[in-house]
Amino acid sequence: MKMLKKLSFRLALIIIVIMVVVLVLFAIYLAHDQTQAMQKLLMHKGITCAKTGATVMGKMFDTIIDNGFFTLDEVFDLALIPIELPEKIVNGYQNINREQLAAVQKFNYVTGLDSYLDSVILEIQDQFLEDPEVIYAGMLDKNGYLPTHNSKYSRKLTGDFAYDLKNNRTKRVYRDPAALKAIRSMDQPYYIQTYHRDTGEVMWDFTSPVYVKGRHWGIFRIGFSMENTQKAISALKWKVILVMGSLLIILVFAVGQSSSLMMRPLRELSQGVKQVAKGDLTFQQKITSNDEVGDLAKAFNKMVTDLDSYIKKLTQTTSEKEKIESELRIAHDIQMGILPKIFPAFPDRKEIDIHALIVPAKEVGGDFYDFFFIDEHHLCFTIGDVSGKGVPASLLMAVTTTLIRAKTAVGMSPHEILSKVNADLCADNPSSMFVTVFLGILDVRTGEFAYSNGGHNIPYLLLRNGTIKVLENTATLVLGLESNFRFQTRKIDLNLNDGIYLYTDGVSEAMDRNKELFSTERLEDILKSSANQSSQEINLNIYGQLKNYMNEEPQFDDITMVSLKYLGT
Amino acid sequence: MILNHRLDLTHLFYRGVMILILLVSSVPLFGQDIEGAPRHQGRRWNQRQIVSSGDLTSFDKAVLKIAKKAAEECARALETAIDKGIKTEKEIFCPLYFPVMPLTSPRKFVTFYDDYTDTVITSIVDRYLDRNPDLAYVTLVDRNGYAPSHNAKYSQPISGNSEKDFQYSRSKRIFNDIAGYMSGRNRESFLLQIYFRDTGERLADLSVPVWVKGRHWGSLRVGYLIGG
Repeated sequence: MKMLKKLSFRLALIIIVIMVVVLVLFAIYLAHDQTQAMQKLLMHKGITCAKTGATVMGKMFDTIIDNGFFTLDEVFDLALIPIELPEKIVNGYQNINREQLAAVQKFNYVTGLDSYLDSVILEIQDQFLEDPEVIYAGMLDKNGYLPTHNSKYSRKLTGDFAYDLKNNRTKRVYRDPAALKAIRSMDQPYYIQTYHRDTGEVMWDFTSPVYVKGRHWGIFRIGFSMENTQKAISALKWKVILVMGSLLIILVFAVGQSSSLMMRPLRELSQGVKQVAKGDLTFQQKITSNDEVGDLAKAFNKMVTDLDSYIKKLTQTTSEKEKIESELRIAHDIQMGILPKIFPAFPDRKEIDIHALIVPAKEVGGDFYDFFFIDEHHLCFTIGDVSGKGVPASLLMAVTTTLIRAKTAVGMSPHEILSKVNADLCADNPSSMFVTVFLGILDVRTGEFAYSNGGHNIPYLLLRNGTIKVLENTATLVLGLESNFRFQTRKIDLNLNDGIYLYTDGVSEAMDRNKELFSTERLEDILKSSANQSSQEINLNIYGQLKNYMNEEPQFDDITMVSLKYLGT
Repeated sequence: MILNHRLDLTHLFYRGVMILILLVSSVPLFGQDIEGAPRHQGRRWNQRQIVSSGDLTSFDKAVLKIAKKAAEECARALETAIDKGIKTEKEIFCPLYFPVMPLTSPRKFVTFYDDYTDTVITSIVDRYLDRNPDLAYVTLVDRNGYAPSHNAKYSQPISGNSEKDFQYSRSKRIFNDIAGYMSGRNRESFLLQIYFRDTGERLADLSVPVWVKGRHWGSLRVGYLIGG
């Protein structure tokens, strides 16, 4: 079964099957052709022999007439005169019937012609029997009388009827159908018939007429054994089968070997493929030929080399990426360390309730928030968004938060802080990154809230009665682009339980599956129903609804929100 | 193609052999042409001369006397066989000749009676031949020229040397050349022919008929060189 799968074996099998068919057809053709050729040969031979015999006999008669041995009339006197057989012989034939006896006793003695022929034509007729295929060759007169048979059929009479019938057939009259046909064919130059002899043999019988002085005297008959020809034919067939068989064996061997040889590069290639499949990418196929298999091997080698280099590159890239990712994780940790995220943030300050929530879209986000007390009574809080994402954004975010903290001093109004931070960011910002910042300062004693916006989403004012308002915006521009921009500060007074809700565009621009934005309308709806909630509850509620809205959709931007409630003294 | 070519060659060869047989067998066997023999009127056997009784020489007459005696003795021997029941009359007179196996060339034949003549006739004819050194042969032939038992001198077994066998193994042949044929058929008191023997000598052949039980059986032939 495994062998059947081999390409070389299948190829060899197909070729062998075709060859077997061709050879068998060829053998059949050859045997047929040879058989016909042999039969044709036998026929030619038979005709030639019969004609030769007839001619010799005719010449012989002509000569004896010319020599005066016999007259023409004597030669043509075909009257049969029975020979008296010795008593001994006749007595031996007592058990046989009269017809059989009559058949045997038809010996004759025509004016000494028989004895003359016995001494003269016997040797000529016997010559034909030198050929083993010739069974008999003899001359018959017009009446079917055979004066002199071949020596082998002229054995001495014994008185044993069966023996004599077989071995002494000379001087008998032949009137069987074949003999009659042969005699009647005298007007033809030759006559061929298949003849079943009374002894059981099947033979080809050739007849040619004998002319004496231009007159029909009789015929010359010659019998060829079919058996010998058949034997020769069957021997020939066996020979053909033997030759074809051995040829086939040689061819099968040769085809098997050559196909195996031809398929060897392919087999090696297949082994090479297996080796590569196991993971050995350094493998290179030896190229031994210039044919299609050689081309295939070359292409395979190229593929393996390419694959190896790709995998190496991929490994390198992956390791680099992993390195970056681990760095990003560290950066995230640092970033998270920068942002205050322990709540309640000021457990000992009952005047305010502040809560912040940040969910970065990537490991390191560009959003930030911060809050800290500038002095005993002033809380500074800020929210921002750095353009871009990832490490550069996060670095700029760290820089910005640091700058905000560094530049904030007691007594400074929000726009002064933003102006200073802006100036610093602009001074050293080769990649033209920018930051949106909203910064507010709350006097926790009075509820006075001063704020300045640097291009950020303007926050919501949550009044204690449940209504919400968008804070009035100031002259606004993102930080890091224009160093001379004049930021403004606005002031409002917060009553007890009023709140501020700050957010980044990650909230309002979150998208569901249909790419539909979460929108400020939805945000406002939620904020309206959150009058009595703590800042933490507000944040978590919004974030929870946001998650529901997004419903497994990936988060494209950082989500950051800061909620503050003024509780008063 | 090659095969067919070979068949044709075989065919041609076979035909050639047949033609050769035709040529070899037809002419010399019947013509009995002998090298160096004088030719008159183009016919070889015309040189056979039949000598009439008036032309007999004294030597011929002496031979005739011997021949008649020998013929008489042979006839008596054959009659004795019949009388004694050794051979029947039918056997003695049966004109069937069976080729001797293995075949010889020229063919030799056996009959129903030649075993008897071998023992009896040979000794008779040899006696006459031995007594008369001038004679070439003394032999009994039947009506067809068949010599069942020749002189011992001419009855040597087949040696394989065909020239020697032709001369010395002449027993049981049918001598049906014209001289032999005529001598076998002769019913007159004698027939003297001068002829060329198939061995080449010019011989006088004197034949005297042999009568067995009143029937013409054959002849006794005596051959001698011309002029004794």
